[in-house]
Amino acid sequence: MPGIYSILNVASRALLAQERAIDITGHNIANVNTPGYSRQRVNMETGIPIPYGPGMIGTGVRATEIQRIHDRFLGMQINIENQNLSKWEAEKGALERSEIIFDESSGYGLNQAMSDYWATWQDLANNPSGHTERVGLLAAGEILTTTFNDLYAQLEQLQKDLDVSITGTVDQINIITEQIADLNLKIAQSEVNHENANDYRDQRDLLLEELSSMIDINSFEDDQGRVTVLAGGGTPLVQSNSSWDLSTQVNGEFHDVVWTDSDGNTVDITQDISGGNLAGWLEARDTTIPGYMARLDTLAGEMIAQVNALHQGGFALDGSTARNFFTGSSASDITVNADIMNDPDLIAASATLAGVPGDNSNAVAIANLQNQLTVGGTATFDEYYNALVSDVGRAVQTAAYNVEHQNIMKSHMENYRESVSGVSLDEEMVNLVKYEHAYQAAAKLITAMDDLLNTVINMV
Amino acid sequence: MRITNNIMANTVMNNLFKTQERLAKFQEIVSSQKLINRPSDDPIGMGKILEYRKRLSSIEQNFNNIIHGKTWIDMTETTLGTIDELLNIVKNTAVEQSGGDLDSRQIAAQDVKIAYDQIMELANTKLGGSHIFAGHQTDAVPFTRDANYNATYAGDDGDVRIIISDSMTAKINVTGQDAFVAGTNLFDVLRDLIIALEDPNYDPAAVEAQLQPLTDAAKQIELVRAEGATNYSRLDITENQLARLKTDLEDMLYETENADMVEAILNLQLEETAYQTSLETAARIIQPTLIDFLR
Repeated sequence: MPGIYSILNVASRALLAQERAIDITGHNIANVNTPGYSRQRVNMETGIPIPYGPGMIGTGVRATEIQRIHDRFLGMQINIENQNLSKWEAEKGALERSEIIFDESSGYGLNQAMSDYWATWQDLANNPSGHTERVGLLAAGEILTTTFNDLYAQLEQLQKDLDVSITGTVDQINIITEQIADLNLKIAQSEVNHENANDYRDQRDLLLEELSSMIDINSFEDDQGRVTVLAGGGTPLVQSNSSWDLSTQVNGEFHDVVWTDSDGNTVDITQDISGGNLAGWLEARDTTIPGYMARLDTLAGEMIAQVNALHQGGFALDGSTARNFFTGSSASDITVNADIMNDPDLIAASATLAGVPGDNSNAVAIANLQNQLTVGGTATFDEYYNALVSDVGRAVQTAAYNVEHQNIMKSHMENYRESVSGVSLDEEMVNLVKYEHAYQAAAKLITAMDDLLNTVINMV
Repeated sequence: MRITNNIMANTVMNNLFKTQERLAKFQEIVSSQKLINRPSDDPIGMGKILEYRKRLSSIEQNFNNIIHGKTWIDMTETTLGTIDELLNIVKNTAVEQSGGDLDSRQIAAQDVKIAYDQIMELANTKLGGSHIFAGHQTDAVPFTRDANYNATYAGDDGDVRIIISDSMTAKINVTGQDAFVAGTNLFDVLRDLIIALEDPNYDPAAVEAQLQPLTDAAKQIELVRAEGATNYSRLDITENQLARLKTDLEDMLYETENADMVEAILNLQLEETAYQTSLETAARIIQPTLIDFLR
């Protein structure tokens, strides 16, 4: 029944509601810089009115729920952009390292080594029996072969480093999926009592975003607010309160990513991963870098085959013939024939039987290989290698463009999310002033009621 | 759009990073003085640079080859010239002796013998360890004689060729075969002359008979000298062409690889100004909040 006491009730409810609102404002201000935090708001509604006298009499205010201001769609969109961004970032990192390996800008690389090598054949042609020229050719040949070996070994090392990154990331993914499953349980438990698990949800969204930077994921909520996370190709990582671990399995030289089901059966999901760091590193480790290595192998293989073919037909100073200049068959094992290294006289500069000392025609023929379309009949050795260096540069450029593009996309999305969910200190200050005044007014109501009651008591 | 403090902070930071990145890029260009510091700066340009470098290095090598070739031809020419002069002297002696001066016969024979040995020594000239008239048998002494002045040629008819430009070679040598043996054998002519002069039954006609072969031998040497001159001028022309090409290539390399310093420094200064402006704007935007006014 309305009266002075009911007005006191209204005032005390108002005090409590405004206090709750100030509480949340404080929470918002405190978390202004917390990553993943979504601002919260106290929803207030009028109390249940009492039908009395001329009409319904209101019973003041009540705080109904604490709501998190959040747009689910934006969160998912950011995760998608994040997958692409992380993929390109990982690929760019790997490509930039291969670019350093192929660094020709300083002028000391395979290009120079090849030029020097052909030049020393010409020196030998000028003085085919000269010991100095022969030793010079062997030195240039050795530099050329070790440059090939080094390039190949460095690319191999890069592959190994990427493999370590991949296995490390798989461990991180397992930690995160476990945490997500944990939060799923907490959220379901809180929300069964119709209390919004705002902060837990923020934490879970942050973990999903982190996960999306490592692997491509697809996530959706069930009716209890628990999120199901599917990795590339639909393999479940988190379902209700449990998580499935990914692991790595040795396949050849490197590791494949495998998923183990509840019966302990393993499924290789390496080919299904299409986003996140993992995808970028896998692409670099299994496609891009092996491609460069194969092209180096082709170059070294052609070099070995062409030089050897001519060298076999030539004659050494002692008249011996049919000797290879290079041994090996690829960039990793190309070396100058050890026999020739031990005895420079065995270089076959002569094309005449019995190794005439002044005959340089075989040296001239080998030196001329430099300008012939030796690789696949379409390119000289230099052209083939220069195209490889250009392609590495182009790949880095493409990756860099994509990273930049994805960065812009992601930061646009993040700004949108920040616009919806972010804490504005100005807004919170306005709210604080607003709630403070409401609180003061409600307190004033109580003093006014105190006066009224005093008056009533004094009447007696 | 609802703007929050974080949006402003992020925007300021993103812009500062971008400006700094550009600043770093121009700083690199100015300090290295190069437009292309890694393949990804300009993949096509990098490909061109590598091609120019390769061509310049082979031109450099071609120059070395040409210098070697010119030295060889010079040496050959000087040697053949001296031999020619010696032949003239021998010819004069022969002409004099065909007149039948009895007293000087032995002296003349002696002179011819000395000339014979001088010519043989010249025909065995070496350049850096190689006998230039020996064809491919550069290690072997090409001409030797026995006590009766019978010469033997130990060389062969091999051509010595050098690479003068991409896939083009030039012959630089003259074989002893072509110069002294084939056609008229110079040493045989000299031997016959010596025999004729030393013959106790002196026959001026026998001496006179050697005049024509002597002229033929000299002609034969003239002919190889002419060929040497042609080869030399071919080397000269190629060298000039390569020198021009080298200048062109160096220009192109410089233009592709090197930065225009005026432009680069100007760009750097513009970026510095942009950076400072961003910093000042950032300072102004971030500082004030409502808190400053709620007192």
